[in-house]
Amino acid sequence: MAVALQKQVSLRDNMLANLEATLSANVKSGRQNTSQETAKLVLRSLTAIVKDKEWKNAQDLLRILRDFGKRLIEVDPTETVVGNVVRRVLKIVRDDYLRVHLGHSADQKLLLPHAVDDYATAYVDLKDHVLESIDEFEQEIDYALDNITQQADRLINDGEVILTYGKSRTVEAFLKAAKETRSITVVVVEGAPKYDGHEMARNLGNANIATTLVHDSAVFAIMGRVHKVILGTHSVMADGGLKAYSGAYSVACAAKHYSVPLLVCTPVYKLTPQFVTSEDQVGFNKLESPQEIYDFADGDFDEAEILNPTYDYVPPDLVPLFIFNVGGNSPSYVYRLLSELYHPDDYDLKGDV
Amino acid sequence: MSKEKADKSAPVVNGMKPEDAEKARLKAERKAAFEAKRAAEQAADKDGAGKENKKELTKAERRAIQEAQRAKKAQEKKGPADSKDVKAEEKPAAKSGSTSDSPSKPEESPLGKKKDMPTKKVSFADMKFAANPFVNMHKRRDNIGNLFRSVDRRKKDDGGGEKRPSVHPAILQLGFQIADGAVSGANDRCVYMLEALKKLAQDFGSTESPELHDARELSQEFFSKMDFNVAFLKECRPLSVSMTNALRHIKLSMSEDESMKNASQLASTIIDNIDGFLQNEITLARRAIVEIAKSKIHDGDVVLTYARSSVVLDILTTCHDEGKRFSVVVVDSRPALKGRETLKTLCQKGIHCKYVFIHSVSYIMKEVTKVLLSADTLLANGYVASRVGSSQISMIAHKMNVPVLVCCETYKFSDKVLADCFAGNELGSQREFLQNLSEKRKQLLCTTLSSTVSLVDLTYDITPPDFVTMVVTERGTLPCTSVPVVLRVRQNII
Repeated sequence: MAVALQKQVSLRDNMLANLEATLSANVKSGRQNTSQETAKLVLRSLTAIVKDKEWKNAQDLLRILRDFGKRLIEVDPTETVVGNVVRRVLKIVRDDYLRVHLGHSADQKLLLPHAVDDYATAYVDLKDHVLESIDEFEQEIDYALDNITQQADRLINDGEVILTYGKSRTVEAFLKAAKETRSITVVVVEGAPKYDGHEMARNLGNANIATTLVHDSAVFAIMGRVHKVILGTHSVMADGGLKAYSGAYSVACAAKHYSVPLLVCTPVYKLTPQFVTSEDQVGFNKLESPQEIYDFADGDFDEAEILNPTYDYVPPDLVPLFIFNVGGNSPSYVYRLLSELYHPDDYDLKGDV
Repeated sequence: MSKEKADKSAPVVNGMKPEDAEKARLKAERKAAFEAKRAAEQAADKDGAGKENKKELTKAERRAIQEAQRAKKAQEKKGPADSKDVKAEEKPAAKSGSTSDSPSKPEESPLGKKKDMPTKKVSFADMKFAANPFVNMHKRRDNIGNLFRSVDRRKKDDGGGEKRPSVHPAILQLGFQIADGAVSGANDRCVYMLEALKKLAQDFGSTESPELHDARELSQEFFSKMDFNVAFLKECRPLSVSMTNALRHIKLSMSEDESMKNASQLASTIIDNIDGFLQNEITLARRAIVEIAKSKIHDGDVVLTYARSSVVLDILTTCHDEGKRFSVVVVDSRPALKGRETLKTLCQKGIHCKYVFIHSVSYIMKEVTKVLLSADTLLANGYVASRVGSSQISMIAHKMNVPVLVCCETYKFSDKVLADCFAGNELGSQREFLQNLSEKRKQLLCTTLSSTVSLVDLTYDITPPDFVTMVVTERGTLPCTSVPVVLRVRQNII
């Protein structure tokens, strides 16, 4: 028994160590993988836990998953996707337990969130149900991009000039899909200090889309010529605001000034139940190395403080529309989606079950 | 349409037997329909051919024909390039007309022509990115060596016997400095130009031309020389409003004074005029602005400024020298990264600074209490033309309720108006676009450029007056909208 337990612990720790290493590499050397890759990475290890770990009942499983999630989040609190995936899996476990539980005892109609509160009854078939649901979730992640890009021709008109900021895989795919049926011109803002707009411009150019690259400072100047703004985002906060790459605020603000529609393309696994009270709150922003924006060969002064924040908070009043993989919604609907995606008890993973 | 006809012919059958009446009515109806169709066809056929049937045309038909003719005319006038616009006008006409379902000779009839056109819907595609709003902008050169060619060309022209003016060495030097970006900023460019013109005047005064004794001829000679030199500067880079205003001032002040007898006297008058302008409109105005603006900065303020502005630097260093305790946020942006110079100057003075890129303005704006900017020019409609990015900063400051102060001497006020950031703007060269990028990124960007990817590097933008709290001038603090008033007062003085 003791040996088996040890084996289990080491298995979990190995997995955790691997994931932690990947995530902390992201912290140290900038984000290497996309949100989708991170999401799938986390989901796979959670699947392994469900599959290989020994657990008696749902309560047990929830505790294990939550512990695992807690530690992952501590590695990089700004990486909201990790927490979101853990929360989704917790919700899956809860739902499946309820379904099994009520299926054994009562009418399906009684499937209310508070019908049970202890998750303590052990069911043999729960594991299969959970694994199946996780599989569905994985497919949702896989097809998220397709589901978003399918909406492109309904949202983009022929001959439109579209502005986007920096590089986003989702936006890139969206624009390429729009190109299939519409002739569009894209203005790419280069997005200092990463300048990933350069790469975005190249990719769009290769897809035969007329692309213009402009500096960050030209956002307001050029907005008067733009028909639509399409942005990607790092995550969507609970109030419907965005945690997007620095510079998004200016873009959204200028779009509002010129009354240009702004679309934010994002899969729902970027929805996070966190609220923003300050851009400096723990787990929201990251200050990157000043080296990126300042060459210290120019002179190193004690009086100078060089700030290079990674994210901007864009309040919901500047975001008119989200394009999710489950369809388009306004920011005021985000809270509703959140309650569908996550169980309220899991919003804060740090608390007890 | 045929229904209408039938209704009109209905009274004819009154007084007949019911069944006969019914038959007659049907017949009349058919006939009316046929007639109407024929009329429409003929009308559609040709202007003349349709004339005899004109009475029988309904209003809608006549209207349709007129519309079509007008459209055709307009199309011929505009040429094929604008044919799409015409199509937009035609469409509703075709619908309201509901005439010829099958015109007999489509190639001749104007209505038929419409049918021959591609049936593609009139789409928003016709409102393209104005083909390219950047086409008419002055694009700065990648290689200023090209300018030599224009100088050479002028020299060759000189060989043609007729004596032509040549570009003065001081102007030549300044031209290259401006084209290269070594001399930039509305103030500096103006001051350097005036200094160079002083040298031009000096040299003009020392070369006595005996055949000219009339004062008017003399000054004409000088001004044509000056215009020629200024034209070279213009070729290097379009003149800023400050420069054109200064030139106008020199000319205006000259034409009043006709008492001078010889070239050296003329030259000294011009030099005096220029010195007067430099002293009153630039040096003293600057000092007055600093005096006024420094009263707006208090202990504990966090002042945000953008890129590099000499007047803002003057204000901040003066405040610091007077012992005010405040800190500064320097906002910078590629490609020029002029803010580094500001940062360096302020830090060397011992002022605490924060340095951010323009994309993080929203992050830093919360701690800022005042935004201090300078302007290249103030337009008559109250817009502030300044380095590209200023409008973005003002917008965010306005959004977050931080006052925006714009410092500008009144000699930079312009009587022109602009409605967007494209007209009258300048484009940076590719070399400038690549400035301050790492080698790796430069290479990536160079490989990115293709027929589909282009770079646009705007130089100026205009800030709407709503974002600007006040303009600090040597004549006091004003709202943006007072520009025309100030201009009128200035004109009266001159």
